[in-house]
Amino acid sequence: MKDSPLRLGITLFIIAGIMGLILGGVNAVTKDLIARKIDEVNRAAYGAVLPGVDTTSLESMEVDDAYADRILEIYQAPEYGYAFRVSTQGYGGAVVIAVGIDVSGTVTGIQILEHSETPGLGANASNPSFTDQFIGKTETLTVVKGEASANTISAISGATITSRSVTESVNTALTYFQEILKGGADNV
Amino acid sequence: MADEKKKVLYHLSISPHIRARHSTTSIMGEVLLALMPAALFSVFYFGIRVLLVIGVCMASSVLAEWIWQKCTKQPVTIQDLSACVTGLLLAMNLPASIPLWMAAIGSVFAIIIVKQLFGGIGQNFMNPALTARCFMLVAWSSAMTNFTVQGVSTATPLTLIQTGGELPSLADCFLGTISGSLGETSALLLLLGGLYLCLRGIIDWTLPAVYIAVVFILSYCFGRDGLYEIMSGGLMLGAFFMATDYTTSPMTRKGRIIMGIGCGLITALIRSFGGYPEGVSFSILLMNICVPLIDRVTMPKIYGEVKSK
Amino acid sequence: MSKLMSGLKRGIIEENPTFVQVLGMCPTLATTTSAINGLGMGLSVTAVLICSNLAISALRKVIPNKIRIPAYIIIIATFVTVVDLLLQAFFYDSLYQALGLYIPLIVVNCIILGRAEAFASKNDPISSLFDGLGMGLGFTLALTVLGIIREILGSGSLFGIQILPDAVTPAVIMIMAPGGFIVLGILLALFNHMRSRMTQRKEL
Repeated sequence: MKDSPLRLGITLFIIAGIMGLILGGVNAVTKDLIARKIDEVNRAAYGAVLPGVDTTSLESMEVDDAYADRILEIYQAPEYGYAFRVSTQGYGGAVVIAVGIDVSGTVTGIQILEHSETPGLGANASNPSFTDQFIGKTETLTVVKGEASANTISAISGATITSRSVTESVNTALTYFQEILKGGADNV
Repeated sequence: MADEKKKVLYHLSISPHIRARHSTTSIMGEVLLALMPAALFSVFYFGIRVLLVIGVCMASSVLAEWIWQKCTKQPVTIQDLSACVTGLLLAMNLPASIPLWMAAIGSVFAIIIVKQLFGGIGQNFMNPALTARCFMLVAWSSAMTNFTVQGVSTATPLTLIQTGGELPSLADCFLGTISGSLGETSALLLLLGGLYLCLRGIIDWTLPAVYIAVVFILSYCFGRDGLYEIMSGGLMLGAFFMATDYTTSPMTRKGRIIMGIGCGLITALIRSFGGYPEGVSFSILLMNICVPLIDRVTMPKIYGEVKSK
Repeated sequence: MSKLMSGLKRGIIEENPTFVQVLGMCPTLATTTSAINGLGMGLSVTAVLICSNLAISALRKVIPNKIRIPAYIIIIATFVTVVDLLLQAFFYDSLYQALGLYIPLIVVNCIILGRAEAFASKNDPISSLFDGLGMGLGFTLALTVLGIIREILGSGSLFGIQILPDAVTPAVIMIMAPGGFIVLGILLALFNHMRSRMTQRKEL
């Protein structure tokens, strides 16, 4: 019987098996390449917010449970500083940024990694004119409409919610540093 | 053949033989007249640049329609003034500082994509000027939300309600000495223009009245000052001049009441709970899309018709 | 040679997957926010089409009719995953990030299953290969043109190079859904208008 369920099942099994072998082969060839690529991209992002750091020295750290919902990753560059991956709710979804803080507790740079903000308004948060404001800040920040100062950030025109979200993330990283890391850094 | 002027002695036609005095051109002319007070006020209040904006919009609309009808070998109908009205209405929805090339592109979009591509006058399913305004709002959001008065960037009353700040007085909103897009500020002059159109029989007062009343009542329900709400934003302009567009509003009185309620509800909801400070354009467009459905539901019974079981 | 020409002509003009068959609309609208993304998606689909058409045609006598759909899906999914892994390994920064979720979605792109059913299962491998090539190139052409227009109007750039002067603010709506639909609609109308003019001239 040509079309018996057994015959059909075996044919399908053979086809799936051959396809599986092809997939396994391609996977084996590309697996390491991909893992290296992902690591490289991450390190590049963290290197960008810690200017001058040697990206190969970055080591992953465990995140304290109390902050685990907001801080996704922390990488430490020994005697240099820390790179945080922080997520805060924005206007159109979560905004994930990288924050670099050196051992003295000063922000060395931020970079927007992922967002779903409005193009032309909130999406302008990625511009250096906005992100550069955070360099050099040490205290908890608030968002204002006018000029920025030592502990305020000038909001993007028409994108107050996005500006607040990014500032919130930086504040989270700063607080984490103050409460948890600083003690350790002092002991170095 | 329609462009040629033929000298005809007698027209052959079937009864009735009484011809009304109005035509598309005369109706559009009345609308332009009704909008004149508000338009002139905006020139005085916002600055001489307004004349340029209005001029560019109207000229681009007429030109776009003329070019389209020439290229598609259709009879040219720019003399029915509908393109002029679309241009003026679009201009009245724009901020005074809008770059002229954006206004021109918006007008072309309104005429060609919203009106002509769907079959020309009487065939569009959305209000051309309003659709173009929403297109421009999404395309050039910062230029479209930068409201200036005589060159100085000033927040509109509705924006101030949303972000907090000192609100202009009710009298200011009524007279129109506030910030906003060109044609929406003077509730007084728009009201006068709207009443003129109602008295002349050009528009039916039902839709604007229900629309404004619903916004008035719902604003109080949502914790806002109802009287202030109906005097600010684009409500007067939208209710009298945009929602009442013949092609995109329901045919029966019952239908218009439904549309008025729908527009009012959506406007109040967007203003109170939505991200945008103003909801008039979106509410009118959303109800435009529902109009075929509304017409179907409110279809009057034919005399002698018996419902088939 | 004639098989190649007929396959190409069919896929690019007569039965263009985007403008004539109107298939695969979801990736068409979603990935044409820039020219390079449209081109990349088109080429990925072309690669999968060629491989799957070839494989299915080679196995057409062997696959029983009752289970042909599951068999086709397994084969198509395999090739899509291979393309996905290769893109991840060699084009991670550019294409892979940009195309993201839409690469696995190639599996359910109607064009691929459609050609498998309509052509590859009934014709010899060489014709099927050329058919896949033609359809893929037609799709790529459509996506690239769409991507070019949307990128110029919506971002002011072409393949990443800024071409609109700074004073001309790009219309952001063009790289969003409404802009995609409008441009696609206009291109559809133009393409079919040209096609009917071509057939009219042939008949004369």
